[in-house]
Order: sequence, then structure tokens, then C-alpha cells
Amino acid sequence: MTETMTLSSGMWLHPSLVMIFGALLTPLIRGNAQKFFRVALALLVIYIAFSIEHGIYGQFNVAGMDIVTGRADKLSLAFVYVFSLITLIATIYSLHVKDNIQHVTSMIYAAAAIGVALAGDLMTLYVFWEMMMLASVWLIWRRATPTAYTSGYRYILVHAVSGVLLLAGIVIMYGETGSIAFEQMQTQNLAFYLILIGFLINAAVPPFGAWLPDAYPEATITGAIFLSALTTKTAVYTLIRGFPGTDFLIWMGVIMALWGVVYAVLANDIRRLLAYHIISQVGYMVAGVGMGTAIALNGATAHAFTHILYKSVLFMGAGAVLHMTGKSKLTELGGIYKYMPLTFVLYMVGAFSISAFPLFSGFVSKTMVVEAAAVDHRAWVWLLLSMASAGTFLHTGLKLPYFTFLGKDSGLKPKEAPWNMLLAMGIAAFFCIFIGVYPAWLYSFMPAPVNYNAYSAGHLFWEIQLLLFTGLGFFLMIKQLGGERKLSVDTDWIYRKAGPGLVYKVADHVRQTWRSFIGASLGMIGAIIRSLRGDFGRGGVLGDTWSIGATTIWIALFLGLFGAFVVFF
Amino acid sequence: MKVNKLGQLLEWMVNNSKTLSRVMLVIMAGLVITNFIFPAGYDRFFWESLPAAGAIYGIFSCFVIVVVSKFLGYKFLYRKEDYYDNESRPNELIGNPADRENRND
Repeated sequence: MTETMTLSSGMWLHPSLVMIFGALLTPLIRGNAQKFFRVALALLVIYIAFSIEHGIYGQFNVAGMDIVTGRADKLSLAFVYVFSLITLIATIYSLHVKDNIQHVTSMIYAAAAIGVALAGDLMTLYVFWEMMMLASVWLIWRRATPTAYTSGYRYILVHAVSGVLLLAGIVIMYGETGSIAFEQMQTQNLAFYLILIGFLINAAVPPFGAWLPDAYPEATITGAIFLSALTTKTAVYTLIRGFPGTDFLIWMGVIMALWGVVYAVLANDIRRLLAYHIISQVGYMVAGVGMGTAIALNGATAHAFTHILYKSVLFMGAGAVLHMTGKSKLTELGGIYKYMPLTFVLYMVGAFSISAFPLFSGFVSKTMVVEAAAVDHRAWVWLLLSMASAGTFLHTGLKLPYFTFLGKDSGLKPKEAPWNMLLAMGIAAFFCIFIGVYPAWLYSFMPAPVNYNAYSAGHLFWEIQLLLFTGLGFFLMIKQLGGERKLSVDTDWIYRKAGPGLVYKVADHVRQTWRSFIGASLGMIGAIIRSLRGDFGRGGVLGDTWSIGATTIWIALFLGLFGAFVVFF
Repeated sequence: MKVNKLGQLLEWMVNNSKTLSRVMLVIMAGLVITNFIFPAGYDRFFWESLPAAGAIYGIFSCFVIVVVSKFLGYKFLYRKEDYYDNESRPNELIGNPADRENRND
């Protein structure tokens, strides 16, 4: 703990506890009262989040470990604010759902994410980390399709690995230093890498990131909003806190940004396309963490903040389409903008935000990360992140809306999405524009003072030209860009195909070997039995019956030998 | 299904997309010309002081992304849609050993 932090005594009501308690009460209430209760709870969370003062709260000692359940500083509060906002938005979006399990688990999931952001020590962090996993998997399973079921199992297994690595790292760190305080990791020892990989798995950094596009498109329509907002961004928070300036994260981030773009080109399912663009956008944040300068960390934090909001709009838009049409593939959609115009327009607000159009939220945060690369004169990082930015507009801003809402008429005539979905999208879209127009609001939450102007002539020229000419490229190549009825394999191929395949191969091999062993053994035993029968069987030397006279002579001989033995020895 | 006011507006835009896209192209040309007159004002990388660099890089990126991704897709990554389907049918995944031994895959 730094000395500047004051230990605030007095009442500390951990927002996560309020949320978990409220979540557990939810199933006891029914009907409209329950809807009212859920919204009221989310509003209360926002109130609590925005009224937390900087300081250290809920500190106690267990078995020699200093547990700090509440460490509130600029960085953690920025994440707590946006988590509380998205909890309200996603709750409103899911008001029409009648599934208590989802209501309870989604609120506990959000509580755990806030718990991670506030955790001042690694043990508290670990507990909330695992709680996130256990709560969030239900948002996948409750889709109740066979693929959701298997995908949920893979999700929980991958995150269990993340948790185990994290715990192992914590134990080693405690053994070496005697402290479990969650501060910037200092020495690059085993604990450093174990904890880092644990975080990177949750941040969906390739090659550990395949769980995300595997699971999110299979989640429930409303659950996907919570998922898209919380898991990866808590991981980004932990990276900013624990690993700023870790050099190789820059390149992992750049690769990640482009990785998501490549797979988005190949994706046909609209929610899978958006899931890959989470990976792409988190790449900017990871690159920012790697650069580690004040502007880069501000950029990563700001981008996480805006990303949660615009990504939720995109997922809500795609979810609304899926909800109303029952379809989520580009090849099956098209021409529905007339029937779902508000969904389309709100989706486009999210799309312009993620693409970093001026006056939309992504512009004021993404350019900050890219600017950090420029300040450090990292030319390749700058160019490749700009390229990923073009790719983002190409897919979430052009390809997805074009082939979903415009394009060839699929014959679908859906109704407009329900009011609660539109309201939730509207709130999130409002924040996208508000932050884009008035970035000072966002910048006031950043960990370091921000003296960065997104709206400089240089940024405007570059970004607008980049995006508009990407648009030109889209319409020139539109024939190649439609969805294809195909599936693209990611690194999860290793545990979905190669692993099981290897197990079968080994199993078959063992079975074959065992069979031929048994076969050969039986052959050998048969041979032994046959040869024994030859000697001892009827007609064999030892097995045949002898005449009484010969037997008597033998007995007399042996008795004589025995007598000699007794006499002489 | 009834088409509301906003839907009608969008419909009008789609019906006049030719004209609108021409307007867009004029705006884009104007933007590039403006960039020639007013330089961007950054010089940390050499291309930042070049006019229209963003435009060229934008269309270049678009091309590279699509070509590289589709190449990777057709060469390595694309599979049939039912590639992972046996996962949701556990019996088929584990399979009858006798059947699996007779199969050639």
C-alpha cells in the first residue's frame, strides 16, 4: 500500500456484497415487482460506485495475510464506474427474460467483476476471479442448446486453468516475499509469469483466447452483454495494475488486434464476428499496458471504458436481431433495416464508436493508445494498430450491418425489438456519443492526469481519411466480403480436435496392442498346453499308465535311496 | 409488418444510395484536397506530414486485410459448418470402438 492512501475507518459497504445479497433476493420476488427490484438494485450499485471515496477499506488479517477488500483509487474506480453502468444497461436489456438463474448469476458475475477491480490483495482477487467464472458460465448454459452446453464446459475448463495458474503464482509469491498485496509485479520470476498467464487467459490474448469466440456466440442473448463487458475488461484492469511496461505485451497486443480482424473477415455468425472484435479491441489495451507510459495506461483504461459501452451496443443490436429473427448468420440475414430501423440506427452508433469516428467514443480512447505509440516513435506498432482500426470499421461498421440490415432481402419481416432492448441500447448509445463529444468527462476518471487532445487536425485528417477510404475499399470488394457458410478453426482446435483425436489414437493403439498381446498369449499358452499334453497326456511318456511290476521296482528303488539317505546323513 | 417513419427515411436513403454515394465521394475528394492545403501538423513519422497518407493507407489496409484473411481462410482455417458437430452428440464423440476401428479417418 502506498503511504498516500489513508486508511478510512468507519462503515465500508462493499458494493459486491450488496449486489450478491440483492441477487439472492431476486428469485423471491415475482412479476413486475421483480423487474422493478432488478433495476432498482442496479441503480443502487451505480449510486454506491460513484460515491466511493479514494482510500483503503475493509482491511483485516487472516492467518498472517493482509486482506484488503477495498482499494479505491483512480484506476480501480474507473473500472468500477463502467462496470456499474453496464450492469444497469444489461439488466434493462434482459428485463423481458423470465429466468431466475440468469438474473441471479448475472448480478453475481457483475459483483465479482467489481470485486476484482476493488481487490487490494491477490487473495481477494482470486476469490472474485473464480466467482466470476462460476457465475458467468450459467449465462452460456442457460441458452440450453447442445453447443451452448459443450461450449460452456470448455469455457469453464479454460478459466479453471487461468484460476489455477493465478493461485499457484500467488502461493509462490507469498512464499518468497511474504506479501500478497496486489501492486505492480517487480521481479520477473516464476510467480510473475504464472500470474501473468492467468491474466492473459482471461484477457483472451492469443494463443489463449479461443475460449471467447467459442463461448460468447453460444451464450444467451442477454447474457452475452454481461460476458462481453466484464471478463476481458477485469483482466485488462489486472494487467494495467500488475504488469505495466512489460515489453512483450506490446507485440502480443498488436498481434491480438490483427488476429481478431482476420477472424472477423472469416466469421459468418454475427455474434462470433463481434466476439472476435472484442479480441481485436482488447489488443489495443494490452499494447497500451505493454508500452506502460502514462498516456498509454490512460489510453488502455479509457479504451476499456468506452469499449464496454460501445461493445454492449453492438452485442445488443446483434442480440436483438437474433431475438426477433431467430437467425444470427450473415448468409441468412439481410434487408431487415426497414423493420428494425431503431435497432439498425443504434447499432450504427456502436459501430461508429468502435471504428473511432470523430464525435463517437472510440475516437477519444483508441487514438490515445495509438498516440502513445507515436510518442514513443514505435512506427510498426502505430501502423499495425491503424490497420486493425481500418479492419474494425470494415467488419463491425460495414460488413456486419450491410449484410445483416441491408444487402439482399432475406425475406425476413421481423418486428422492431422490444422496448427494454431499445432502451438499453439507447442508454449505451447515449454514452457513446456523450463521451465522444465531451471526452473531458471520461478523462476525469483516468489514473493519470490527461493532457491529450483527441481532436487535433492531425488525428482528424488521418482517422477520417483512413475510415472513409476503408469504406471505399469495402464497396470495391463487396463481392468477396459476404459471409460464407463455413467455420474457421482457432487455437481451440487443439483441445477440440487434436486432443480428442490423439486420445482416440492412443486408445485404439492400446486396444490393438492389448488384443494382439492376448492373442499371442493365448497362442503361447495353447502351445504349452499342447506340449504338456504330449508328455503327460494319454500316450505321453509321463502320462501313460505303467504295469504294476515296473511300478513296484521303482518304489523299491526310491525306498532304498531314502533308507540310504536316513542312514548316512 | 408496418414500416415506421424512421424506416421510411432509411428506405429513402437506400433507394437514393447512388446519389448519396456520389455525395460521399465528393466529400472524400474534398477532404483529401483540404489535406493538401492544410498539413496535419505532426511529423513524428515521415508519413504524417504527407497529404492523403490516411486515405492511401486506409484503402491499402482494407485490401491487405481482406486478401491475407481470405488466403489464410482458404488455405488453413476454413472448415465445413458441421466440423465440430459431433461434440454435441457425446455418444458419437466417444463412439462405439468397434465402429471407430472400421472407419478410416
